[in-house]
Amino acid sequence: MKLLIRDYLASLKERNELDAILPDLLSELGFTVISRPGRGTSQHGVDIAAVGEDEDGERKIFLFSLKQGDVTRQDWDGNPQAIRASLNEIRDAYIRNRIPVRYQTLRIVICLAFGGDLQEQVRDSWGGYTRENTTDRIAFEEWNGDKIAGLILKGILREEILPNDLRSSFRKAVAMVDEPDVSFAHFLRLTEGLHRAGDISNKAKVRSARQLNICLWILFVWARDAGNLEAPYRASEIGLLKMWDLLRPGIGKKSKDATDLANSFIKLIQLHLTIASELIEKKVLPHANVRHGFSRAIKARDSLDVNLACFEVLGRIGLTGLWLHWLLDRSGKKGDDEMRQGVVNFVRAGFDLIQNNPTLYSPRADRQGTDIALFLLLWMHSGQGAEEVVSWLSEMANRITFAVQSRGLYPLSSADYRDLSAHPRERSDEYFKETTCGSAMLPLITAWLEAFRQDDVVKKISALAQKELEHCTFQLWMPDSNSETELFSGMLGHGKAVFDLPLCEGGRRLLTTIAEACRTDTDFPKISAVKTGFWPLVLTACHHSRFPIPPQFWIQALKPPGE
Amino acid sequence: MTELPSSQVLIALAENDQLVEAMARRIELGDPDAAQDVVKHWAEFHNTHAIDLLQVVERGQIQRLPSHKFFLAMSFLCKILPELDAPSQRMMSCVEALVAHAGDDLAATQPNGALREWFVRWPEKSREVISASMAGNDLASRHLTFALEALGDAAEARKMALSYSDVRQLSAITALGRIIHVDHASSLDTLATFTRIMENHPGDEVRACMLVSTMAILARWPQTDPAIAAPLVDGFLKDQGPITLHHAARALWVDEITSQEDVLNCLLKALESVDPTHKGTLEELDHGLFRLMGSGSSAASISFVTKFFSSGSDNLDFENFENFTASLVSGPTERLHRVVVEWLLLGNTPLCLGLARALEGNGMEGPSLDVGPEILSIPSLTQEFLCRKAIGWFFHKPRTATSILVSVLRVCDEETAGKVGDLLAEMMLLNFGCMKDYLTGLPSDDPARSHVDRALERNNSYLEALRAVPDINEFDPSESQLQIQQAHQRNQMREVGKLAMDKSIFSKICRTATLLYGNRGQSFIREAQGHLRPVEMEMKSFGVTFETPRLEIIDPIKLDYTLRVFRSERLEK
Repeated sequence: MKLLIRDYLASLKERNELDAILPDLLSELGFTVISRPGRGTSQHGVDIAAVGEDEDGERKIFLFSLKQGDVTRQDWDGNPQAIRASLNEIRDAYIRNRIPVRYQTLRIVICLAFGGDLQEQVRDSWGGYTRENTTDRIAFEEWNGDKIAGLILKGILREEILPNDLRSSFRKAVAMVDEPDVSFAHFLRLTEGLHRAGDISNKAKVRSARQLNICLWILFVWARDAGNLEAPYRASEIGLLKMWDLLRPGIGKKSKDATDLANSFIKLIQLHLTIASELIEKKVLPHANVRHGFSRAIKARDSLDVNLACFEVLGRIGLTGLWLHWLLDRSGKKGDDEMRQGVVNFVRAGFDLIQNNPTLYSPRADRQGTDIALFLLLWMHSGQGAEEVVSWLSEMANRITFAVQSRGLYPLSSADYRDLSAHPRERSDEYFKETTCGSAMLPLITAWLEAFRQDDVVKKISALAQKELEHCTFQLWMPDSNSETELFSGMLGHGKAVFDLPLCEGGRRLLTTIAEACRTDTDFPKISAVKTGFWPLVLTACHHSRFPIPPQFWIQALKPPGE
Repeated sequence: MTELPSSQVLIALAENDQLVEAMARRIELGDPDAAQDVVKHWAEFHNTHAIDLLQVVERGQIQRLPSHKFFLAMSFLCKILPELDAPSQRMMSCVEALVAHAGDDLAATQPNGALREWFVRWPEKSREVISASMAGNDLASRHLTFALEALGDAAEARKMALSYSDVRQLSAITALGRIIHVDHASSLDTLATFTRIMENHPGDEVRACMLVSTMAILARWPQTDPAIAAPLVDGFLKDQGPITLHHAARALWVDEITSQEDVLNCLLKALESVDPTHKGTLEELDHGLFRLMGSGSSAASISFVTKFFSSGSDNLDFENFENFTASLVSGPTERLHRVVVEWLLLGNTPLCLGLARALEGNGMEGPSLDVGPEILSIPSLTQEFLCRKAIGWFFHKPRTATSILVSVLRVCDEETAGKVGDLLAEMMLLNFGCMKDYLTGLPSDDPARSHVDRALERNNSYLEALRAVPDINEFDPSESQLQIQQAHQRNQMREVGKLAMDKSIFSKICRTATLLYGNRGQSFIREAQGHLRPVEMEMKSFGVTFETPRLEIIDPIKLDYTLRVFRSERLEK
């Protein structure tokens, strides 16, 4: 276990990746973190400041200067960001000016914290420096990867609070990152265990959130090294949902635990976005403008796998972009051009992906309506022009019409991979009716096309619904009163289907019906994540459990003026 | 020298009802000359009343034999029948019983042949039967053809054909086709008789009989004036029924038909209305067209097939014309190329589909069709249309489709070359890596070279960009999904294997042995003296490989749509 954590620490790529876990680690060790990593403000060499008992039992103030990986000669000296310069700045500026008055009597430990090792050629310099500058008041400590790993095992992941069975699940999840399904299954077990453990008290909830955060970090870093981020992506989705489930009873409370829990949850969101961005921004988006690039990059021998992967990634682009948009909104920095541009870039990349991976015009499973809706929502919030989205939806509608009429690769109601893989198993009417018994995707596409006044295409879909798909139950899904407890637990049996949507009566009737269903619904606004403004959580839950996106998210934008 | 069985032995066999068993064993005689001696020997015993060979039929002894023995015994008996002195009624009854018992077997009519020989051997019996038939004897009427044929009396046959309108008329007409007329004038008399019969608007069966007899006469007398023959045949085929059409199809088999072009045209015109559900007639037609392809009338044959499949009937299936197709594909390449271009431009589904199925070569890639410039001297728009059709129909035989595109590129103008180049790059090269090898292998002085090079360059850029994209492992199908896929593929392959086995000629003629281990097999054959002779077999693997079109994986619905459009679009007139 220690080796696993040690390797994780050594693999941290950015300094701020150590930032992300060290405060939690210190808190769990009994320290009081008095200064956290921040951006844009002068820290005078100190990344984290905490007060706590030293090994000798004396209460001291610990000033951490963080560094990623190994410490090399280049890191030690020679530029303003070098360690020596930072240590000098701590002594010269921080200690003299920034230590809060109430801690000024405490002795000081300046800690050089890093994930790897201090290389031999630096050791003498470090030794010389610390000997020369150690005083009665100021001491120096080396917190290398080995020490931090030991502290993690002694602290946040100690056996008393992370029992053996959960440690085992965690180890297996890390070991199997190359097999995302298996890794995720083990991590899910860990998450559920932490959820159960956290249900005892507010303190336990905070601890569970921190444990989940560090475990997820370790999984992520290992997966990043292994070149497969699928398991941590899915793990971070379920982690977010499970932790929200823990957090939601304490919403609105002002206690320290409630604040700590909220902070931990925000860290989880940030971690989720870090993972999602690492996956999407670094691995997918750079190749979105290559014709058939993404389709080829998947080692698939079957068109179904290409199709499923393309829609999955489009859904993730939508969801990640929506989280970014939410962060932008939440920060209140309306003028944050970089973040706003980030959202626009996601939309642009999504359209590039669609254009260059044409399977995205041909959904094969009705459940892909969720991915479509997520990207549509992102587009809606991005303020970009409608031309590409209209063209995408129209072509998709045309292809679905063709596939249904030719009894080819039309989208199936079933989400089971076996059914999708064997399709079309036969050409009989009975099979066709069975495999197209219900659809939430067609009403979604039709509603949007109607909003874009694409009368011809809408008419075509209406005719299709009337002639070929008369047997199909057109529907949408909304959360109901049970969803509050089940939506974030990954349960499937909740919510209500608004069905018998009048698709064959044209787009306007359809929109009106959906709008009326949303207007009369009283459950959606009561969902904790909606009520508290954490609405992307509902989308994450829908994405994770493959539920259709509730129309409440988009109906306002689609309703004709005056309705 | 084999010793013949003595009369005592024969009598003993007859008395013990073992005669038919002996017949089935052919008296253990392998030597044909010896068998001939036995035939004479047995006939003599019959004719001297020592034994009664017809009794083996009359008592049902031969009919009670197991099927294979029955045919062996019948065949032996048929050799003896012509030699037997017997009343015609008995003889005809026996023959009829044997034919009836033989059922649908190809050898079922062998006793009729024996009866014909019997009539030749005993002409007075023929006259007796003709008289009996005239008197209304049903049995005699049913065997009238053989009696008339044996006598070779065309005048008598013509008379009977005109005098009756029942089975006797059919028998007489049939006999007229078989009788060797003494001279051309006599054959013309027969044709004139048929013209007179036609005046009474006979039914389908009579017309069919007259058609068959007429074709036989024309085969023997090819100098017959087409002005006589063609209207007569045309008359038979006007408002014809299915039997006449069936025989019209069979008439195409007659070699000499090619010298009677007008008659051939009459037949082919009538055959355009064959009911596609009449598989037997289609089979005859296929054989006939195959004969025409090899006998200087290929143009008529191809033209017929083109018209036949352009009729718009839903039930037409090119698979019914496999002999014709085989002849077309294996015949002169220039002829094949013309047909390919003509049919693609016509865009008729069964024709194009039939072509696509028939073209074989280079494994799954299909043969290369280097269509000559004289065939491709068509308007630019038509050239482009031809390319789209070639892709639509021959997409899964990429070399065939590509070679047609290259053929067009050799002769077309710059604007068309641009469009055809797009098709080459976007449809063929993008989908099939193997086409790159084919195209790079074209000679440097090939007129299409520059256009082909541009398409190859485009393809290279596309592939280079693709190669620069690293694998993204996150979205790989999971292990369980791969297992589902593999199970699905295994099931599909099993089905394909079963289908192949069902269609394989080997599975019908060979016994299957499944070797679970090793790559060689050994079995033993027990020889006459009980000696075991080893037979060894070296096992070889066999298989076919084909390239899955890239778009089949990346964008199957669009590919399907595009190919359907290419197949179904029509040129505006």
